[in-house]
Amino acid sequence: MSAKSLLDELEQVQLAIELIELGARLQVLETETDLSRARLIRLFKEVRGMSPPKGMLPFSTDWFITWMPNIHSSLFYNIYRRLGEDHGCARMEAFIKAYRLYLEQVAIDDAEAVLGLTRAWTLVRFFESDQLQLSECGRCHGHFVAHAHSPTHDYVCGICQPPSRAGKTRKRRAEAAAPSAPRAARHA
Amino acid sequence: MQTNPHVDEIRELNLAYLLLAQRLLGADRAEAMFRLKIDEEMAELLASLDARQLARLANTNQLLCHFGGESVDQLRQVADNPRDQGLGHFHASLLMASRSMLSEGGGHVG
Repeated sequence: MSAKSLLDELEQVQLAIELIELGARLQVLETETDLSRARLIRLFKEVRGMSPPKGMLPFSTDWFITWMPNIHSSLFYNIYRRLGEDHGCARMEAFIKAYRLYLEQVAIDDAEAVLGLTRAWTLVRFFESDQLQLSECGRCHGHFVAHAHSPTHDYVCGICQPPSRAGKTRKRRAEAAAPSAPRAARHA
Repeated sequence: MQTNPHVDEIRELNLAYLLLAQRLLGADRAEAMFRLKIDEEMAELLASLDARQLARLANTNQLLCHFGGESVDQLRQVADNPRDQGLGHFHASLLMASRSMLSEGGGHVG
């Protein structure tokens, strides 16, 4: 093995570690690095202290179109594009930096990172296989993830025009109701 | 002549902005260019300035840093969204990230 390929391998290991730390599933690592499955599994166990989860990756584009996932996906993908197209980052470099920048914004808002790293990766792959496109909102002119070939005129995004049931999930209602419970208990 | 009391603030802000830009560029060039909305050439130049040059640039009565490229309509939509779901920061962040420094297309953009 030449010296160059050793360095190359080191880079691949570093990339794999970074991806694992950010929450990548095994399929992501297998696709994006040349490391063997056995080595990736070992690496995964060493970094995360557990075996990689089994099972298939989500394969539908529909998730990215639902309300909150769409907003998170759109933010991430816009950042990814800027880094790759405007600032000359290579694909995986742009991906990792964009995902960190996305997490940073989520942390500022004290929100949940709705878009996991593996989801973010499938999002990029869907764009690469032309199954998704960015559509411009007619009101705020932001760019949002949409199904490929969906009509773009009169498109309004989920922030400017949230669906009527937006934010009214069972979980949200439970959270809204929760703070009053301890107070009631104190009074009792 | 009486100077505007805000001029000192502007000069301080200019210097703080330039220093922050340099630190960001030193830490991670591509990420800094994204945050600052500047191109490669500008990044190169800002990073190369020495203290004297920074001070000279900062000492003006006008602000060096500008709005992140959103139009009045966009800002209004973020600030006064009648259907706000508490996603204001997210929206602002998304709009800034939506704008390409290279070209601006309408409709289907990618």
